[in-house]
Amino acid sequence: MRFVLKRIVAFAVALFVQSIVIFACLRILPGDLAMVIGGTTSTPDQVARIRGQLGLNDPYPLQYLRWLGGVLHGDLGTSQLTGVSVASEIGDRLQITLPLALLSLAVALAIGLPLGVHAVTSRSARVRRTLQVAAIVAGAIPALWGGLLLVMMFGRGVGLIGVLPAQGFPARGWHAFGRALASLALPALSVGVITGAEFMRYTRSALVDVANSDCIAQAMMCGMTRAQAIRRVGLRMVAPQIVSVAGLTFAGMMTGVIVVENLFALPGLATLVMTDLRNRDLLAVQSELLLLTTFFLVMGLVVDVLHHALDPRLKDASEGGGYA
Amino acid sequence: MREGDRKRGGGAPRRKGRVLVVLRSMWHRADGAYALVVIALWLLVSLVSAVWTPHPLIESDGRNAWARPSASYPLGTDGAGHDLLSWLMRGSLTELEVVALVVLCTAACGLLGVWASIGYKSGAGRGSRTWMVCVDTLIAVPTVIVAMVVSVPLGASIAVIVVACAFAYSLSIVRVTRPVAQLAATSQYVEAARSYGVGEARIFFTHIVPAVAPTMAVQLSLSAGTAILAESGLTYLGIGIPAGVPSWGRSLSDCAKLITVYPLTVIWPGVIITAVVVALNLLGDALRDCADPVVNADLRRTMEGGSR
Amino acid sequence: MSCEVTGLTVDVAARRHVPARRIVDGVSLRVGDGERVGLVGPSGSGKSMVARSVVGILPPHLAVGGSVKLGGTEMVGAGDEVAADLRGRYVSMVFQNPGSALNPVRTVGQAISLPLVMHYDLEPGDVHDRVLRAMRSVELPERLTGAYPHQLSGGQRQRVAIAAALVTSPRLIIADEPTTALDAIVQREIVDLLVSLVDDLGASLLFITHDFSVLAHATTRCYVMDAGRVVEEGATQGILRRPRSSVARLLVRAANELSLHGEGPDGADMTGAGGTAGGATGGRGER
Repeated sequence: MRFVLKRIVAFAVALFVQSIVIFACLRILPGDLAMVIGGTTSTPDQVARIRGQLGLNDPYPLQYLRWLGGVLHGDLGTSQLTGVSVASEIGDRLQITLPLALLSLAVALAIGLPLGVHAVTSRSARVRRTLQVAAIVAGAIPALWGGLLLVMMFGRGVGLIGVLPAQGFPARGWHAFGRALASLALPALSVGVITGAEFMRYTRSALVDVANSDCIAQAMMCGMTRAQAIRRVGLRMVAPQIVSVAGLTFAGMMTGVIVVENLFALPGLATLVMTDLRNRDLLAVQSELLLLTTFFLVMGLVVDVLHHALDPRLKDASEGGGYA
Repeated sequence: MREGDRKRGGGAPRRKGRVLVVLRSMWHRADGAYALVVIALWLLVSLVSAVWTPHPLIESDGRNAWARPSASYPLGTDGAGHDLLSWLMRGSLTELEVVALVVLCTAACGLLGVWASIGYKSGAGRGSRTWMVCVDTLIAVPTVIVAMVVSVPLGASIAVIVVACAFAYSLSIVRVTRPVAQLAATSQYVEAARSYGVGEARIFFTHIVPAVAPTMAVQLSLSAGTAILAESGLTYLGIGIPAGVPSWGRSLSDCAKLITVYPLTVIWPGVIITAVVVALNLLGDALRDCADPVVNADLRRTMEGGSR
Repeated sequence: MSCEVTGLTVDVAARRHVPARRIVDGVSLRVGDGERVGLVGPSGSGKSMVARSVVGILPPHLAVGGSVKLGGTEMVGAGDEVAADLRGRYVSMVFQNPGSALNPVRTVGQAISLPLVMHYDLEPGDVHDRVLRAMRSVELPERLTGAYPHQLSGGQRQRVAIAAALVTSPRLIIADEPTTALDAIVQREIVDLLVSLVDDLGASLLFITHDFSVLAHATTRCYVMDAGRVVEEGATQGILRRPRSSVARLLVRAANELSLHGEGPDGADMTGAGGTAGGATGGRGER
């Protein structure tokens, strides 16, 4: 319990530091929001007036505190260009990106874990070698190409077996549940297969490290075959590592799916950040980046806590238990 | 007798012999041979394309737009009548530039980061610990975000790709090599060298760098592979290689538009990218094994024979 | 259960530039019903390999040849399922390092009950009873049932390993350097415990070690191995008194010199003019 509390405090501190870093970095970028809003035909007076309205003339610490105060109240600011609240824009985008990342992660784990185990336990050297080669090749495929190939095969209107939508997300969002899910199927597959290859290599390598350990030998001596021992005991031993990698990969997917979102015309989170960056909508970008960083840090926290829970040695190290 | 003199004197033929042995060992491995062949082909095509392509890259007329593959246009043409094959060929030179820049910058930043992580004149000072905390925080920044932020001042350019990849991989190098670097920095060799008054820079290059070299080689080859994949993605998004410059990513994005006209042209750029990225990843693994005298018996024999 | 090994060979398969290597070269040995037999040799002589090939837990890149018969069943080439069925039920093993052999995420109780659960369909109550009985026999207090291996001392961990090895009342127990990782005082306790439990069960024991002084107490016969071959065999006491091969001689001398009690393995008093000198003199005098 104490460990979790300590970890939460560390998380809060890191988040605070990140917010400062984001704020500072964005102030360094050239380009002027006031000018972009005013347009190319605006006079310097108009630009100055806009700047005053946005509070861009105030000293930096004041701007920072104003922003931070808003965030803590749940107000992430208002997008200067669309007039919509940043929070609601993010919310709209999240309902696409988050499920997409989750689906991709699910596909990746469903492919990577079993194949990774098989790559170690299979008795046929040819099978093991084929799996290894497949993993190396699948991990080298550009996401764009993978997506295109899937569209060519399954995309409605273009593909051989045109069953799945290749563009867009239903306007009613998740209220049209079936159609929404179908829209995410091909994108999730593209990302999932490539990430799955990475998971497969990682799982295989972690299992190979423990496969010749005494722990597996002991499990075999209790009556398990080598394959059983690796599946039942080995996987459990490497579970903490796999959880770490899965958590961090998931966090990375929130932005990593940007190419696929573009290809399949899904209005996602990363695309929002890019648009806002282009438009120098710093206030919106600040909040969006903060959200992304928070997500990363939260995943890090979750992974650490899970790690801790999965390994009794760590639990005791932090709480000082013992029998001997 | 100083180490440098000995190396300079009998070192020249020895070093060349060692490189040949490493290359030969790599050639004997299936993955090493594949990597060497593919990379050699890539270099060849790049060099050739620098002076010649089947069709000029910029056609003055748009007569042959959207042509299907034929004898004179083996891969067809795009919306402006450009020959896709020529663009793909010339793109290999651009990829070479991208990879070279990424590897160099990553290596340089990585080494700088390693030097910062082991601290000046001490194995684990407060400064290096703070640096490691920074690294752990920075490493969480998604590469896509870095690319997007950097593209604001720089626009669509090769620098965006280089900065984003170098950022991610140099941090990764620092993190992954830390244990080995620490070990080398606190070793007795280094203590002794310092007590003889050997300069910090020399200590770094003669003791620390060789210790982290194998891990770095693998990370650098991974970064090279990622650079090509990143190039294809970022160019597609409009913040990578600028329009008008041939690259594999550009060929791939162009084919994405062609998908309704002639879907099969999508195959080639993707196959080439995958093949080359696989070659670069395998290169790192093969290099790590074959350049290690502990693992590679032939190399060990060559090195022992030379020193006698 | 008897164990017959005839002409056992273990080869490391050839890879790329490295030729195939033979690490066990035609070893033959026999452990009869109820016998306690030792397998001794310097580090790297292949003793562990022999033990692991007997039960079929060698990594797949090692090729096993020859014949291994456990209670009449041929193990070489029999397949993992056949071997797995015998493992834990009729033959069990105690490993050198219990810290790495015991699963860190399983409690003591779970570790000991695993062989039972794998082979027999028992009520949870019965399983619990047998686990407690096993713990009593190795002198571990009941309260440790829920403990994790990292919370125990080295000696306690090895007791857990022994309990797990005996809980199904196997017919053959293989002990692969069970005391090497323990401190000297605990070593003797563990060996005594193991020997008495094996005798109570009426099982056979194959005791592997590089330390002759331990063998003297634990075994009646032994085989001496060096570089993958058996170089000497016979009654343990006989070899200790008259080692013939050079390897055996080195091992016996080492055992004499390092003996804690200052006694030779056969009880002759070696103290007097200092442990080492006395030992050397005694040894030379006997030859």
